[in-house]
This record gives sequence, C-alpha cells and structure tokens, in this order.
Amino acid sequence: MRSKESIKSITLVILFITSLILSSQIFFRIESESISDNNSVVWIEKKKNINNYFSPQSYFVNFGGSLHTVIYNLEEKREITNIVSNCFKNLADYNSFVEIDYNKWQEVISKRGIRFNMNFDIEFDDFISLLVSNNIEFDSKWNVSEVNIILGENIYIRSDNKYYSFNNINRETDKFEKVISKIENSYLEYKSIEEIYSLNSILNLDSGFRINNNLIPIIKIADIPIIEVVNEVDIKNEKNMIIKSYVSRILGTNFIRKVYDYEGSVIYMIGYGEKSLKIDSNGYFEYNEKLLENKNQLDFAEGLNMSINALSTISNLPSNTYLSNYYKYNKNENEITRYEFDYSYGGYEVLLNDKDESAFVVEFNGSQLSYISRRYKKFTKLINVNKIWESALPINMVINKNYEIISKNYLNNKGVFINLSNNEYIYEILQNIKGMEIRYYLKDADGEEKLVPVWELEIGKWTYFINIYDGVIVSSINNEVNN
Amino acid sequence: MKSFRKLTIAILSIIILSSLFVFADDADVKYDLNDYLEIINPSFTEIDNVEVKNSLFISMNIKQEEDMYLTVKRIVPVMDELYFDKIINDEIDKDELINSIADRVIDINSINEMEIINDESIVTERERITSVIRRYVEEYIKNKQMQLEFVTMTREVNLVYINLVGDYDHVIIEKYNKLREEYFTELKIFNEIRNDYNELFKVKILDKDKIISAGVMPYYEKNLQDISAGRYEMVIELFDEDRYMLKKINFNVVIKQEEEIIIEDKIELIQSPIIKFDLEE
Repeated sequence: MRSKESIKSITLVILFITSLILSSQIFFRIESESISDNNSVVWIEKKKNINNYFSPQSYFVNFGGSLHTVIYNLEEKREITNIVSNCFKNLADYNSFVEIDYNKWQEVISKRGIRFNMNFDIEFDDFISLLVSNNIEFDSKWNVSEVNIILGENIYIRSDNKYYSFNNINRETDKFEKVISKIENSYLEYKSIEEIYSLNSILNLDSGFRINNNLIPIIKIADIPIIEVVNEVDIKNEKNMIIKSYVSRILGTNFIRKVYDYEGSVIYMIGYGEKSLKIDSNGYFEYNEKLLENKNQLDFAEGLNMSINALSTISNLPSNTYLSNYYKYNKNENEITRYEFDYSYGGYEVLLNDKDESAFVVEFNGSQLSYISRRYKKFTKLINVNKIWESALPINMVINKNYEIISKNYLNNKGVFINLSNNEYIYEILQNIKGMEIRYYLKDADGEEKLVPVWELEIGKWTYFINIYDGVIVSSINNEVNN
Repeated sequence: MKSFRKLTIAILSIIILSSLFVFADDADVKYDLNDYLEIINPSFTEIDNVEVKNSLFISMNIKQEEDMYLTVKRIVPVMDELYFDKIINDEIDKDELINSIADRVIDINSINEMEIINDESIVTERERITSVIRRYVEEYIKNKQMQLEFVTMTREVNLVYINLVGDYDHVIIEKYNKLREEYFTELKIFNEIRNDYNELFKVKILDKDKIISAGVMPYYEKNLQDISAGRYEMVIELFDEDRYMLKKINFNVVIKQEEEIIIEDKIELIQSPIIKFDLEE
C-alpha cells in the first residue's frame, strides 16, 4: 500500500518537472523570436530587399509602331523591374531631367519601349528608394504617375499633367532589347484605344484632345482559370493550434482577455485594450495598439522594411506581394504613416472587395507600430474554364453589354439626363476609359469563395469589375463618392 | 394688269431656274464610301505596308448603316507570263501549262474542282477555271503577236514620217492606223480577261462579311488569324436600291521577324511543276 503511494508521488513529481521543462521551452522559443521592444513580443527585424515590393500595375510593351502587348507574367515583370532598378541605381544628379511638352511625350509613346503606370502616385524620392532598395532623399516633392522607357533613348516620366525626360541615366539598352525580343516571340496583341477607335478624328476636339494610350486586347483572351480559396485561419475551430500560434506571435503568451463580438469575431487583448488582435469570420487579422506620444520619424525605406517584417511575423507574406499605396494622415492629432500592400496570383492582382481595401496594411505613429491588417485568402485549387467559356468576351462586346449602366453613370456624373437610346455619347465614353486591367476578384458563390478574373474598367468617375468571360458586372464603384 | 403678268412671269422664271439648279445639283451628287465608313485599321498612313504579328486586325467606324460587305483576299504572286512566251516558241505545250495552272489555282483556293457551278450546262469548277486560263493564255499569245506586229509597223511608219520629203506611202499609213485601232481594241479585251485571270489567284480569306455595328458601338471589328506575309486586297461593297459602290484597297502585310519565311514562301509559289521542270533544264 505504501509502495503504491510512493509510485504515485514519484509519478506526480515527474509530471510536474516535465511540465516545467516543456513550458520553459515554449517561453524560451517565443523570447528568442521577440526582439527590440521591452513591453511585449514585437516583430522580427531583418533587412528586407524592399525592391521586391515594387510593382507597377502592368507593363505595356511597344514593339515599335502599333504592335503592343501587356505583361502580367510575374517572371517577366520581375526581370523588367530589375532592369528599371539598374537604370536608377546611380542616379546622383537629380537635376538631370528636363520638362518636356505633351507632344513630345506622345511622340515617344509610339516608339519601341516599355511603359507602366504606378499603382498610386508615388513621390519621386520614394519611387527611387523603392527601386534601389535604399532611402534616397532628393527633396523632389513631385509624384510619379507613369514611366516610359524608350530603347536607346531617355526615360520619360509623367507626373499628372507634367512630363519629364531623364537624360543622365543608365540606359540599359541591351538588357531592355533582350527582354523585349524575348517577349516578342510570343505575345497577345493589344492596340491602344486611339488606334482602334480613331477618336481624335471623330471627336474633333482640336488642341484639347489627349490621345488615349490605354491598351485593349485584339486577340481573344483565354485560359485564365478561376481560383478556389479559403480563409487563412478558421476561428470556428477554437482548438486550432494555428490560431494560438498566431496570437502568441503577435501578442506574446501573456494576453489577458479573449472576447467574442456579435459578428462572431474573436478578440485577444492585453491590459485594457492597449494592444488587441481581432480575427474575424473571414480569417482576417486586425491588430491595434493604443497611440502613444511618439515623435520619432521613420524614413520611407525604414518604415517599409518594418512593415514587411511585421506582416511576416504573423505569417510569411505571399511571394507576389507588392506595395500598393503609401500616405500619411492625421488621427487624434498624431501623424500616421500608412503602408498598404496587395498580392497577385498568376500575375493578376487580387481584389478582395470593391471598397479599395488593401490586403495588408501597416500603420505607424512616429516609430510606433500602431495598426496591422492582414486580409489574405489561401489558394486551394484551380478551376479551368475552357469547358464553360471558350474565351473572354472582346471589349466592344463588354461595353456593348453594359452600355446602359455605363452611359447612365457617366452622364449622371456630367449632369446630363437624356434618353438612353441616344448613343451620341459613345465616342466620349470610349475616350474617357482611364484604365483597363485584368484582376482577380473575390466572389462568394454557393458558400465557396472564388477568385474570378475580371476586367477592372475605369470610365470617367466609375470603376467596373466585369467578369471577362460572360461580361457581367460583378461590382462597380463611384470613385468620387468613395474618395 | 400688265405689271401683274410681268411679275408672275418673273416669279415663275425664278422658280423654274432655281428648280433647274436644284436638279443640276442632284445630278452632281457624288457618293463616296467615306461618307458611310472610315477604315481605321489597317492603318495606311505609311506607304502601303501593314506590319502585323500574325493576325490582321480590321476596324472601321460606321458613319451610316447601309448594306455593306467586306471581302479580304490574299494575292498569290504569279509569274506565269514567262512560260506563256515559251508556248509561242513551242518550248512548252499549251494544254499542259493550262492544266498545271488550273491545278495550282484549285490547290491555293482549296476548292472542289468537281463542284458543278452551272446546272444547265453541267460546268464544273475546274472547267470554269480552265476556261478562264485558256482564254487568258490565248489572248496573251494573240496580244503578244499583235504587239510585235504593231511595234514593227510603228517603226516602219516612223521611218516614213522621217523621210517625209520622199515618197509618202498612204497605204502603209492606212494599214498602220487600222492595225493601231485593232491593237488597242484587242488590248482592252486582253486587260479585261487578265483581270478575270488575276482573280483566280486571289484567295478569299474573308468572304462578304457584313459590315455591321456591334450593338451600340458604331464600329465593325474583325481579326483575321494566322495571316501570312504578302499582298492583300480589301474589297468593300455597298448595295443600295439605286446604287452599288465598290472600293478596293491593296496593301502589303509585313510580318516582323519572319522575313526569311516570306522569301521561302514566295519561292515555293513560283515553283509550279512546270517551273521545276525548267529549273532542271
């Protein structure tokens, strides 16, 4: 009987010691990953190559004359980005540019080269910093909207309605020629809106006319699959170790409260909400920190590097993540710096909804990391569409199919109310196409979430997301109201 | 009363005269296809070369909806006249050459040679083609002979004119004028037949496609795939109750990076069975 009691006591002691060892190992592991902040677990800090997060909307390649294509392929995009980066690597003399007029800009657009629109109007200093992966300060104070690299010539930059030519720059002609020639072997042919519709002669606007250089495919687009996706985490599965792991990575192991809100989200908090992490039913993360007085300043590259680190601490970022917006704003008398990121599949950018919300957001209050949002959907499988649709609808059919809505919105914005059978505005509407890109749009269908290829068609003040295969408007937004 | 008459006459005169002007204006109305459509692509701003990748994109702005059609033909290069000359010299058998050309026409147009095109006389497609070729070959030979005769006589007449001081041979001049008239009449017939012959070597890649707006978009768009380099003809036809309009545009399609292929293509077309035989010689 006594020996039985002894065995029990020994077992209990062994169990106690084992639990102590295991727990200390967990603490040790978290401690080893958490650096720099004294208060709690903070973010891994590694020097990232921020150049990897540079991405224009898409690259327009002109083979000379009226032969064009649009590049979505990630590999080709990266190759071009690296060459563009080399061009600006040794830009020591910021003043080596001259302002040119619109006619000169338009003249060079028809030459052999590569052109791209930025995802947002980025300040020239930040544009260079992003390209060369280092903080550069020329105190330029002007934004880059569009870049045009002409083979063997200068690099031209559009800043809203102003145009510049950079002379003293690495031209990298051979490298550009090599990449253009490679693309030239096999490409989908595009033409500019002006080349297809000849609006200059029809609208007859004289000097006020601006050539519409946006590109439209003249070959049928096929084989862009639909992608089935799932939430990054499933909060319904409370015992999910992944959730616990995420929480410990962001808040450490010492969070105090766990709260469920009426929408079904779960919120983990430290103290009285000084720091909190919310995971909602979509598997989206939102981290908030109470704003403290912080007068430290982060430069663009520093903040970008920290943002990437912070987002990667939660979980690795998709390899095709890019900086999609950057700006500063005031919140409770604090200046907040905001970095936004998005990602792509197969080279096509992913839109999670029509509210222009980015997939990943990081905010800083001075040098204090105050906000993170991570909205990511995990890829599960591809659904080939060739058995459903032969190919994408041509653009003229897309516009034709949705003309009633498009013309109504366009004319309402103009304050014109006419009988819709009157089609005299068709040329004006075509001239006002401001952008046309293929994207993936997240759509919930039959309880399953899918990324559907859409045209993001911007006409006047409206943006339409249109299924490329059946031409149905999936969503539309009035940019004027949204801004 | 008199003045009233004068006034009436004057007014009537003005009305009649103005009506005449109106009628005259009506008669002068010239219809132009450009009033109905504007060809945007292919763009002909630079010479008549159109650079493409491998498809020919056609777009037109339709200004007025009418019964309009577009036909696009590829013009196959023909160099058969070299061999017609050999018929004259009895170096090549005429029937053999005609059959060989007919084979080639049937081949390039991918047509059913046995297709009956006239039920009443039971004329097959091959017979029709052979007949056009035969007419052309015979006209060619006839024309060549007349040309030779005409050139020779022109020289003779020139000599007569140069030696005006000497004998003035009315007979020769009359004979020359008659021959001249006959030759030019023959030339006219020859050109008509040549057009029929050349049509055999125009391969239709788009046949009478209706030029119609895509709904609200007042544009006609067509993308002809797998286009090869060479010369093309675009034919636009407008049919109306009281008029027919036709516009033909010839242009070269140039495919970048495929210059070597173009040369090979041309050689292959020139090398008909007869030519191969010649090359062996």
